[in-house]
Amino acid sequence: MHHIEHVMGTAVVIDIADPLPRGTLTDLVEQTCAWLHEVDQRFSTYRDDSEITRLDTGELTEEECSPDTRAVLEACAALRRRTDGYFDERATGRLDPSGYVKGWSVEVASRRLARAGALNHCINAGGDVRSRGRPAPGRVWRIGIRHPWEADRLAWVLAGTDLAVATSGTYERGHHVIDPYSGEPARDLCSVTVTGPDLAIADAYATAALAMGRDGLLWLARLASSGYESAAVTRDGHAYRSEGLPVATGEEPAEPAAARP
Amino acid sequence: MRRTTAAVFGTLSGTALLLAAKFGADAAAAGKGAAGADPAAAAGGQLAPGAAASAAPGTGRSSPAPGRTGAGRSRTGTGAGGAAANGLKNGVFRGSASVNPYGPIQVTIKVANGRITAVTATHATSPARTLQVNRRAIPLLRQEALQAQSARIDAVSGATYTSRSFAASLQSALAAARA
Repeated sequence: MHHIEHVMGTAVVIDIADPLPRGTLTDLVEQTCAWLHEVDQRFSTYRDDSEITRLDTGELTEEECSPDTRAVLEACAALRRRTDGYFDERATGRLDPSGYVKGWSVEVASRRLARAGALNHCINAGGDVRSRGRPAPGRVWRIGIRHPWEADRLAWVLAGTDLAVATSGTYERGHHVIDPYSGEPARDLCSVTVTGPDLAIADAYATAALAMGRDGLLWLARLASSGYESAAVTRDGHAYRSEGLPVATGEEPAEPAAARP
Repeated sequence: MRRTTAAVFGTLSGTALLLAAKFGADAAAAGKGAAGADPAAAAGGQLAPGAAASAAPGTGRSSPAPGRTGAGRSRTGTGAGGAAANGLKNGVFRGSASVNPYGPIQVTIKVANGRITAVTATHATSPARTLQVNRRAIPLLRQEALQAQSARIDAVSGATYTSRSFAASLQSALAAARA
């Protein structure tokens, strides 16, 4: 089942490949969408009534927030330390944990789908992608990484079963990553992709590396030892990737290969 | 006095960046490359004065600097005595710690007769981690040609697109093709 939901200011594509009864699939999609809307309501910086806005304006204290919000804020603080302050949910001067929340909400949604028996699925929340299992027997998920300047072309294609792929870039209009040390938009890297076990962490790492500028290339290289592989494109068009990035080898056969016994 | 220190660090920014680059990118090579450098330089995160002398500003400019040493953020400085021939006071001046990907780095300079006679860079905190990073070969990303390819895919990862731009994006074409 294939579903597109407009939520969190973007389009979320939910793909469930399991051969489950139609009613079950519809329920799973509805539950996933309900969760994403709940996250939006709680964490949106565009809503005056979201917990994040009310926390930022001082209307709420951290103790009065939901357990989810407190957990997200704690995770953001841990990531801020782990990225030498380059992932900063207050880099814009306002509380804005969206750099973590989108990946986290999709990670949670994917885990819930798997627990409910949908072991083969892919969720793409505006460019943050989480896949599990296979799109079809004998196939693996193929995730393209957008070329920074040619919107309809791909810079890399990744392939695998369980993938979490997050990309931060400066090429989408209106999208800025602020270097928390200078307060200026980071410009040296125009696209950073991180893939690894957890989409929320991959998302935060991609944002942090982008904010670091060229230093981010060294920092990304060191991430590989903790299971996070990466790819980056500099402003002057140089492409870099870690050795272990799961790039697709060869073109996928046009007909799905038969499942092996 | 604050202004003087700032000026010192202004002129030193090239050197400071070079030091950071050496500490960060290739500590072993920095130890060998700098003439007369103390072998401890690579291991201990300390640059001997001899090495500092060879790392004069100017050579620092041409070297890429992965380190993040915000010269503009060096605010503190303690110095004593000495008349200034070219605006530099004699004494030992310590810059505030600045952050690079391997941790905070702190640069100290020694000025005698208005000339910088020594530059020392130390990692201000977490020496154990710094030691480990400097001793290990620094992993690097592989550089390759930027591709612009088309291929059969299930999803596209890219910088967050808004709902509005979604209509024009590759993902929507893909969604339509699969619907």
